[in-house]
Amino acid sequence: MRVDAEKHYRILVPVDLDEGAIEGFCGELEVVLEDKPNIVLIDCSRLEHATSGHINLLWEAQTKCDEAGVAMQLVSVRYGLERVLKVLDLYDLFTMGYDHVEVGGQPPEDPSNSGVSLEIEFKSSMAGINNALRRFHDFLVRLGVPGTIAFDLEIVFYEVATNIRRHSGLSEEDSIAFSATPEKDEISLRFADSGEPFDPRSASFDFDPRMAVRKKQINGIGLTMIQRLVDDITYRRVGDRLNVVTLTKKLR
Amino acid sequence: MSSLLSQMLKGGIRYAIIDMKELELLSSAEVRSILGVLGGFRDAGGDIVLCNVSDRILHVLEILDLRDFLTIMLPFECESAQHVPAW
Repeated sequence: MRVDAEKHYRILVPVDLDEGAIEGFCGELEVVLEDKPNIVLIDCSRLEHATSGHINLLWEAQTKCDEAGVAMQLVSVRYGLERVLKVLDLYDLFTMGYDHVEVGGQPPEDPSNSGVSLEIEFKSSMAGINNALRRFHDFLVRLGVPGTIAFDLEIVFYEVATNIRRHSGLSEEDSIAFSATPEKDEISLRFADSGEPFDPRSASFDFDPRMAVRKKQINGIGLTMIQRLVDDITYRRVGDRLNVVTLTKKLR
Repeated sequence: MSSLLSQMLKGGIRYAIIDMKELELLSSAEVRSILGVLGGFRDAGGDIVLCNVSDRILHVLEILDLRDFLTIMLPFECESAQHVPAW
């Protein structure tokens, strides 16, 4: 439990609902309510998958707060819980707080303060791409990039690298140069390869899943993902031998 | 995975539940695999259902306009479903 100067109490909803956890949550709530706080914040950040037991617990908390005349807000509500509440027509019965939680769990550092970048060169084989992806993942973790954004960046890395591998005409022994550079509130990913020229901005797909399934033409998903997961893409052909793609994504 | 789903469809199975729990990264290859056979399942009166879909993967499905197009089990439905990990 956490309490701030304005008498806002925050209680974490347990993930595992054994008897002790439920008693602990309810007991904590009762103690808090005796203190007549301005508001009780029910922290749902650990509920990636909500069960009926969690819904019952939230409902019980709401009832107790109502009886005590204390306002209650659900905070750090994830998509899974939100959807369950909506399906059960319970969403509007709770007040949602505006407290955002990132999936990574740890509070992110300010990536712009890190002053570091990652530079690697890897083979265009799948093993080479996967090894480089692991290093990129570790770099993002060290940098404190929020979980959802890091996940998007890793997808972009994988899609760009596999796109180069499949379509640029490189052999498995040819290398791809990669760098990741955080600046202020964004990060730039730069890929350089010596394959066939290809500007990822030139391919424009109006990806329609219904049409794709109906016509069985499932093309352009990778490029669509790349284009929609970053904020900016630039492409340069250097000296008629090098493709340089730079993708920029905001970190907040 | 695509060939497994195709085999299931040819074998008369109309519903496939794909457990996404162990999926670390959702690439275009996985999306293509699902969409490539989805029409066959739906034409046969069935469907492909995704379960244990994390927030991160949901986000990617959303940017591809697939969140409402695909059938995604609610978390508490996944708990009671019997399924086969497909990845």
